[in-house]
Amino acid sequence: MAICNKIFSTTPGYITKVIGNTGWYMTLISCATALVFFGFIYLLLKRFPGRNIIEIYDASLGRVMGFIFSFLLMVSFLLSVGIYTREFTDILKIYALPATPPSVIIGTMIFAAVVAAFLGIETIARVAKLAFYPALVGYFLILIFSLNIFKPTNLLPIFGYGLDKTVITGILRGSAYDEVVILAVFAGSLQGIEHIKKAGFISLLLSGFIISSGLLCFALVFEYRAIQELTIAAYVMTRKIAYGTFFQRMDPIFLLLWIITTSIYISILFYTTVSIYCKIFRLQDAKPVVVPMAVLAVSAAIFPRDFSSVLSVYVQGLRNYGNITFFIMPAIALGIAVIRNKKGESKCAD
Amino acid sequence: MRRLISVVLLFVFTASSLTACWDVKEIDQWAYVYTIGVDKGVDNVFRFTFQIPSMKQEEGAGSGAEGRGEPSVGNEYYFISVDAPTFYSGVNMVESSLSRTLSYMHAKYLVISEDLAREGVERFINSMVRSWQIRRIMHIIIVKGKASSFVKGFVPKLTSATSKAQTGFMDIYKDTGLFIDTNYQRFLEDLKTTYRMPVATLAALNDFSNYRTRGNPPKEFKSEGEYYVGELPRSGGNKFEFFGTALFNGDKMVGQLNGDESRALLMIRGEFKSASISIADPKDREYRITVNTMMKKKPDINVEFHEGKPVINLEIFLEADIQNLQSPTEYESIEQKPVLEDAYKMYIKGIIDKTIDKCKELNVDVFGSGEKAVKHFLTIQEWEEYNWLSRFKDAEVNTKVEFTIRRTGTILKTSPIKHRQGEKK
Repeated sequence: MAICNKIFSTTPGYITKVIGNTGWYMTLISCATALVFFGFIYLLLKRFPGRNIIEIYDASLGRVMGFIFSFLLMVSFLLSVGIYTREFTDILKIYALPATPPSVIIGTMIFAAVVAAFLGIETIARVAKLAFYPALVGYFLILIFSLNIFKPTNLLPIFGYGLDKTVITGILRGSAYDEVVILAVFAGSLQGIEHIKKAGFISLLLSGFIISSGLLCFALVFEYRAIQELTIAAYVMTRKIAYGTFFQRMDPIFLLLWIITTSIYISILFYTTVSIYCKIFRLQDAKPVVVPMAVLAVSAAIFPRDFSSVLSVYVQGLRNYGNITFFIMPAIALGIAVIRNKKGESKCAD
Repeated sequence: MRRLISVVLLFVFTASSLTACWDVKEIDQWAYVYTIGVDKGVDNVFRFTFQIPSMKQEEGAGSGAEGRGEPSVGNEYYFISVDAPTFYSGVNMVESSLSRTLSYMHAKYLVISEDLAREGVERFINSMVRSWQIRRIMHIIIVKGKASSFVKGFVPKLTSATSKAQTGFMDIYKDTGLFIDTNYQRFLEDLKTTYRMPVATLAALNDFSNYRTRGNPPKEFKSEGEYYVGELPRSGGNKFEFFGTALFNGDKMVGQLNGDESRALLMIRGEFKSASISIADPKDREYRITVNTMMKKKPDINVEFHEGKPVINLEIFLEADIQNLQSPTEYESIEQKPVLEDAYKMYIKGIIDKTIDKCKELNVDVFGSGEKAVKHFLTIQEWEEYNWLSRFKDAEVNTKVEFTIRRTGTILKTSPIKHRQGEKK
């Protein structure tokens, strides 16, 4: 759910601007890239069994470099909370609540995340699981209801703005799947390395399928020049659904799905941020950290000047540079651990 | 103590959520717009006209047949016109004379005057849709004359629910094929796409002046679709009519199709549903024949390039049920049926060819053949560089029509009528 929520965001319009109508297979390249990098994360976790990525950074890179890597990871998550909350707020203001002050929407989202953080990971996981099935059904219903407005010729020219651009963008945007690194943050709390491997690969493959099917449907409904104009393609597509005079105006279904999944998504990111912070400073009790972290998240959310900068600077910045903190740094840690022959067992022996 | 604080906080947050959000407005705080008209302005760039249903209850509402809370006939709608630089400033200006906020989330028609359409619609069609209230399933209609006059004349008879009737009027194209239906999203997409040009429904107020009360019918066959909008020889009913199609080159209207040509356009686009198509009897041209024609399957459009020149091979598949045979010729029989089928094939092919020639002359590919041509290109850059829309006029179009009469209605055989003198031959 944390990965797939992006399909409801401004991303489809942006990537169409860059690569044309090939987003549906570009995301599969991104997914493959993420699978490769998750493979590195898996190898890293396997090398240090029973430890989370923060402990592994310390063990592999030393206390100072480990601290820097972990802190950058936490900052990335914190920025993600702020930026995605702001993106959600601005879109909600455009489509549904134009008169509501942004601070109220941001405050409500962060408040929900704070409550979730107090209740803990198990509660978040249970709520996410509970919401996942209806959200998935609703999502695919929207896609199926759009069948009558599909135009297969919209997928042509098949290489969009060029196969090279699609492949390069696909690799660079592997960060669209970067939330899989959350598994590494909570590795110590999960049921062993094989369980993490299974959860990681399944969630990446499933997310790849869900995001790709969504982008494929958007491309089938909107011609490549039209989709570039849309703030949220999913919402506009939902509003286009019309079967006779009765069965139309399905946008409330979309809004419900979008708000619930985004709320859970923000809560997951926020809890991960708090958790990384506590792990860095070896704090046993996370509760005192929650409210100050919420203040930082709200600050990050209100920091961008306008919606245009949210989209073109912050969201795209996270997409383009997210790879570094979420995927490349674990790979570096793995490489250094191999070179320095650092292993979980050897640390225990020391 | 902590439990008490938690309970108090829970109540406070629950209570605050029950006060509703900032955006809440009761239904009686809105004025719902059904139709939006756009003309060239006089005092400003545009003249916007809004059709708003009256929510005012008549005196004595709730008592007796006349007091059901419905506005009296003729007062069901308010029409407000305003000259403004943009749509949204026009909305503000209108609201200065209302106690309610204009809501156009239920607006179903965007009516544009032909004058304005010929000058270009870019300046408002792009901007209006930025509001979440504008629904992209709203129909786009180009009207002859003033849009404001059309909106004011748009008071449908035979129904009390205008909103529902608006959808009904547009759905009629499925029964007649005499006009094309397009919505905001499709129109907007077609304005910007590289595959095809936009089209829109044509409408007009009919002053019934073509309804002659004297004279003889023409000897030559004249089809029901040969007319242009506003010129139908009819009397009574709604003054407005939807008939024909407006053709656009980019954002500018450059031509129009009559009813027959609109049917041809629908057939080529694969959007034709059904229509009663009349022809002159191939064996006796004094008689008329009508068949209910339907699409057998989607048309087969194949685009090839010979030395850079596009060649479009188009095959239309139709089937029909006989509705009307005036002559005693037994077209239902297996021997005569092919004669009728061939006559229809030729007639429909003729209309299709004429429509294609007309569009080639205007250099507007409204058929969407670009959607088929694009498969010859691998990248968007190559496709855009070729610029299909400018090449359509050079295209060689080969058409073929397959036409099968399936059923003969409730009559299997037309027996000749008996006179004192015997059978009429």
